Amino acid sequence: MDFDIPDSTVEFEQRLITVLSSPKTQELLDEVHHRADGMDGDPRPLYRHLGRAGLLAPSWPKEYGGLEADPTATVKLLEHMVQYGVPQSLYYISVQIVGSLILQSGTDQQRRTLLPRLASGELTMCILFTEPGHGSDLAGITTSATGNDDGSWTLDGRKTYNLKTAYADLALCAVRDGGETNRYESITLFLVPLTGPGISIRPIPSLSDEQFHDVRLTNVRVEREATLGRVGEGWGLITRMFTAERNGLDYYARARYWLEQITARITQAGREPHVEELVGLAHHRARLRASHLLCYRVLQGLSQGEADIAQASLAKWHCSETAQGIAWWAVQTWGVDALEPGPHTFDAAFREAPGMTISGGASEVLLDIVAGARLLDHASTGG
Amino acid sequence: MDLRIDPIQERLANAVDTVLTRTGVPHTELASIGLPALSIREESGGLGLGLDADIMVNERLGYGLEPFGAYRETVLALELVDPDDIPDSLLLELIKGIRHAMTVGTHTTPVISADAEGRLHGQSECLPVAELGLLVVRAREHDGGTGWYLVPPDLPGCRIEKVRRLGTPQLRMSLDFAEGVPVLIDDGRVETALNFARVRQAALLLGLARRAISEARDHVNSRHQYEKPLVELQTVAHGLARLSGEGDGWNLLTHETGWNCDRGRAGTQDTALLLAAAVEHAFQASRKCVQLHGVRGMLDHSVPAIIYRLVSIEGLRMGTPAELWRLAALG
Repeated sequence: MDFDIPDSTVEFEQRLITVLSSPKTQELLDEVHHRADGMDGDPRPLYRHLGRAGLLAPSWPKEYGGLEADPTATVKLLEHMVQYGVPQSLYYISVQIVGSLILQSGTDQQRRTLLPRLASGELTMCILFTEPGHGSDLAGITTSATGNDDGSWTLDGRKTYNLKTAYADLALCAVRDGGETNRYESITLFLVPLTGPGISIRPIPSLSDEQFHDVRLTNVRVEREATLGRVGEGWGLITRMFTAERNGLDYYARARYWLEQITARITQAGREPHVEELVGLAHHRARLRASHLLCYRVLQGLSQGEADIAQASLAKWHCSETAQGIAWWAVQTWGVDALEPGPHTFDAAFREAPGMTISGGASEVLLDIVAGARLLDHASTGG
Repeated sequence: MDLRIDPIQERLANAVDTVLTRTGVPHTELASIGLPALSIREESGGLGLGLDADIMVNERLGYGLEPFGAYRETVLALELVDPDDIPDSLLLELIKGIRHAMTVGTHTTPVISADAEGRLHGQSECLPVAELGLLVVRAREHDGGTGWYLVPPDLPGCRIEKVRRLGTPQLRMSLDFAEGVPVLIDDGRVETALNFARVRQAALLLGLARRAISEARDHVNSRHQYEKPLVELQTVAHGLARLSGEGDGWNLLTHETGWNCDRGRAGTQDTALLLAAAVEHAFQASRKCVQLHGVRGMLDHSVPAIIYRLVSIEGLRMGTPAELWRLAALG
């Protein structure tokens, strides 16, 4: 084992901090947080600024806009994005989830045309999987794709509770392709432009700062080349994507930042910390460090082509519960004062906390996967 | 960063597993693969492989339900004491695992007192069973401070008593104005030695916890209730999945803390935090194991009962979880 951070990551981190602390970044951040559009706040100009500096896809190959960096660079990127207040959801979905899937499973043409634009922040993407009747049980989706004589497809259906759709150029959409009767072998993934005819996007306010969206697809025509992977092989790609999505990194990064905020509040000048507070901090610090390592284990596996869905599920479960626990503990420790506006407010974190163990794989589903992989008689004991 | 177990660690773990399948005296069998020499610093005559190696050894000892506390105590004693203060012949026996050293009053508030002439009296805390060669005693001195003494177990006024805790054999040392040899051990050395000791103990406890989960896993696959194996009940499966996942995290944290200790980058708060988490995890895993075995887990010689006892003894040897969390918080 080796726990040292490579020099290349140290250099990347220094460059990252330089860009994030620049006046231009601050100006763009202020615009996002102003939320002039009445929605989440549009982070795309900020992403383009960071993308031009070559910071958004450190682990990708250089030909697609990356740096071919060690996974520790990706960890540092997320840590600092959260620390500097850069909204990371749209970025994470676009680059780390969908972009990584295209890198693994896209055609040469898709990789060449899409990845450099994702890495530069010029292109953003969202995921349209969930439907009104199918959340955790994705294999039951009903949105359909009908093949046309010229090889194109027509999509019809409804997707809901999706994040960042209003700011996305393209959507990764899972649909029923009318093929095999087996519900796992008749799903195909499409890359759907969201600006075309037949698509309506309606925001749905949520408990947290991020809104959901309800998307209707009515006779939406997409070209033959819009499929990601082969027709009918969507389920395998979804499973693969979950391994990239469920590394827990974004949850860990928020947990880390929140714990820093609590620590600053507890130890602020002129205040004598209570022993119970310090003991509570130690508990959360221990779990956070374990989350970091579990998350990194998945990232390392992915970088070496060794995806493990059970380890990924475990990491997401662990990191999301760590973050949720920190947010709740902060408010339960300080009472409503923690919700007051100010530099260390937990208002947004407290509202976001319940959703952390629901979105991106509900804890119950993730534990089912871990149990299936580790506890059934045919499974290994893990670790 | 690379979180994969390296080949040397793997080989060491396999060697411990193999030795534990033999029928000889465990101490002798373990000595045959270099315990405790591989953990003892080179300046004391050992191999000094560091915590990278120790963690693997102790995790496997825990999994094998052979805590072998005398080994960790010997290593700790030799990290505390300058080797020049120990007779060569005894030092060699300690390194070879023929006899063992124990610390008294190191993990707890000192219970042995030293009078103005440096004579020691009092009764030690419970110690692991071993062929004792040396006691390293931290004693309360007449002026209110503490001091360190070396005590050969055959010293006049020194008596070893065999006791049982939770049905597990232990030793207790009674000192009746025994004339120990005072030694100087600076606080920095004590802190470093205890940091290493906590990491080894955490690894042992996580091995015990992993065994508890493994035993529970086997049971819930074979035990049928309501016409299906227990593992198909979500309350059962999720409880074990949580423990398995938490164990992975603490295991990685043990390796990271060990890595940092070996490089002088970890302090008391880091190692106390690790051990506190490991103790609590081991408690939870051992209790879950008994719970899922039902009444079978309550049988005196059942594996769940053995794990429950071992975790309780080893989990409290270096302080209670509450004390450790406090140490993690305050340093």
